[in-house]
Amino acid sequence: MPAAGMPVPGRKLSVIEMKRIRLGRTRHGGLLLLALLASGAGADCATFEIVGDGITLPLGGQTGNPEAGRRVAAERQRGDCSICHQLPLPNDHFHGNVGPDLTAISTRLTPAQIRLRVAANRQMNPESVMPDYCSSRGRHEVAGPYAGEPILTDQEIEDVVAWLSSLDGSAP
Amino acid sequence: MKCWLLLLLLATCCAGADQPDRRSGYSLLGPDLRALQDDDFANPGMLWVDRGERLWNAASGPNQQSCRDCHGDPVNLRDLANRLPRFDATTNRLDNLDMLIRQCRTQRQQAEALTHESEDLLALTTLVAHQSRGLPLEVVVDGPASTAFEQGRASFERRRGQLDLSCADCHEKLRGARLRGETISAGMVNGFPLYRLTWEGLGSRQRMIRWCNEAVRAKPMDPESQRALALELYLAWRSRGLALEAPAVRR
Amino acid sequence: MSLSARVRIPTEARAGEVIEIRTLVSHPMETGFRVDSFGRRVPRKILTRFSCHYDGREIVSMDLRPGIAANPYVAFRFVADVSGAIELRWEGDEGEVLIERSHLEVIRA
Repeated sequence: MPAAGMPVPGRKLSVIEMKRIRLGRTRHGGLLLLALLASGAGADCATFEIVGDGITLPLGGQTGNPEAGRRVAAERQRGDCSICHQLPLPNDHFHGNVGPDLTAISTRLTPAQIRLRVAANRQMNPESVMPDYCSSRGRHEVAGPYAGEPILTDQEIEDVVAWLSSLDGSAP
Repeated sequence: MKCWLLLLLLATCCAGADQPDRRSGYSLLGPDLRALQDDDFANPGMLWVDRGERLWNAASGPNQQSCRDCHGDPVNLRDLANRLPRFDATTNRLDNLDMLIRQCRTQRQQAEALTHESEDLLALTTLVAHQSRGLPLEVVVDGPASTAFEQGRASFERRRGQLDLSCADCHEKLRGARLRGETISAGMVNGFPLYRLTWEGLGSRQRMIRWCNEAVRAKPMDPESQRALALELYLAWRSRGLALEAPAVRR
Repeated sequence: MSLSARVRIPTEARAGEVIEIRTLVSHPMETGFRVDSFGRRVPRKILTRFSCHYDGREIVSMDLRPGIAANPYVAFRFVADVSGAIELRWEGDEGEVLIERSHLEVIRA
């Protein structure tokens, strides 16, 4: 596991630390890059309130950007949503069928309902295979670079929610 | 009427839980890969069997002993790989094929240790497992092995890693569904050691476990730990009755 | 894994018979485009050429490229017309050469 230059989760990075990470990236490649990506958010998501079967307020008060959300959903090391779901991501030749087809999800669910299902799906259904994307609580045996980190940051989740909320089946 | 429905429902549920769909990963292959596995010349895993035969006959250690000097023909070990891992009551621990061969190598031959997942060790495990081809997997899980077995079951069902998924989440609940283009297998281990196209090489059951752990972003298990071997025992038990296919070919 | 081959070459054929040679060779066919977990480029290591000589004539040859998977399998057919030596030859990036020799006896009816 990379030790030098590894940011401490949940702490803002100083300029000096950023430089160390850049140096580290050239030496250690992928692992540190992940650590850098994961470090932006801090250890866990903002607190949220479940109302009915949704989360009404955006996580951490972030504003979602649908275009960014599309990128997060497509990126293998971030959302990687098409591994399980059918989505309008035509560059992925194969989409999984583990979860429901999301190509027209906004016609079935409100943004609040989508937010709950992305951020904390197992709060609704503990048996579901879809993990909670906003929390790192209750995890076991997490590999070093990911320890204490949620799968997505609050901002990324808001971006994904914004993108999913725009999907009405018209996109290719 | 209600009572009948309830009984029917119970019967279906219990059958589902107790009897996983025990189909070899072979059933998920297309005709071309089935043909590749079935062809004893073109099956790339046979390269390791060839290499295993050369090693089997090679003398090593201070007494210049070969595997053949003690065991004779490899076929004499025909009824071994299908019964592993097994609990050794004298050492009070589980052994799998890799460990038995490694122990033989250092303790009996007193030769240089074979490292995990090395080409030489894979060659020998594949040669020996190949002898059991066609025999049903049959591991002992009761008596002194029962504690380890229950440990293995718990490990199979425990969610792990950042993605918080258990072996059971994918290989029981979701078997047959597709992750991107890949069909999720039932997690049967009757093909190992097997040639995986993803790896462009051969791997053991423990390599596959490590691969899965990495996929859910979990810490790797020490492949010689009792925990890892207990999981392997549980996986072999889930695959009970399936014919051993080593070296199988998988995607 | 060290360079070694499995070959299936008939030793006898009738004159004019079409026979098949099958080969499988152990080689990583490392593309040179991959990086390891430390971000270092894994150097290219591939087989670059395969050929078959039959009674002194080159009857098959192929250039191999990084897109070919590990442990290449090559099979081909030809007409057995004369008794003679068969030589299969693989050549790699690092100058490694593997040669398998055999003799084909053609029986004239």
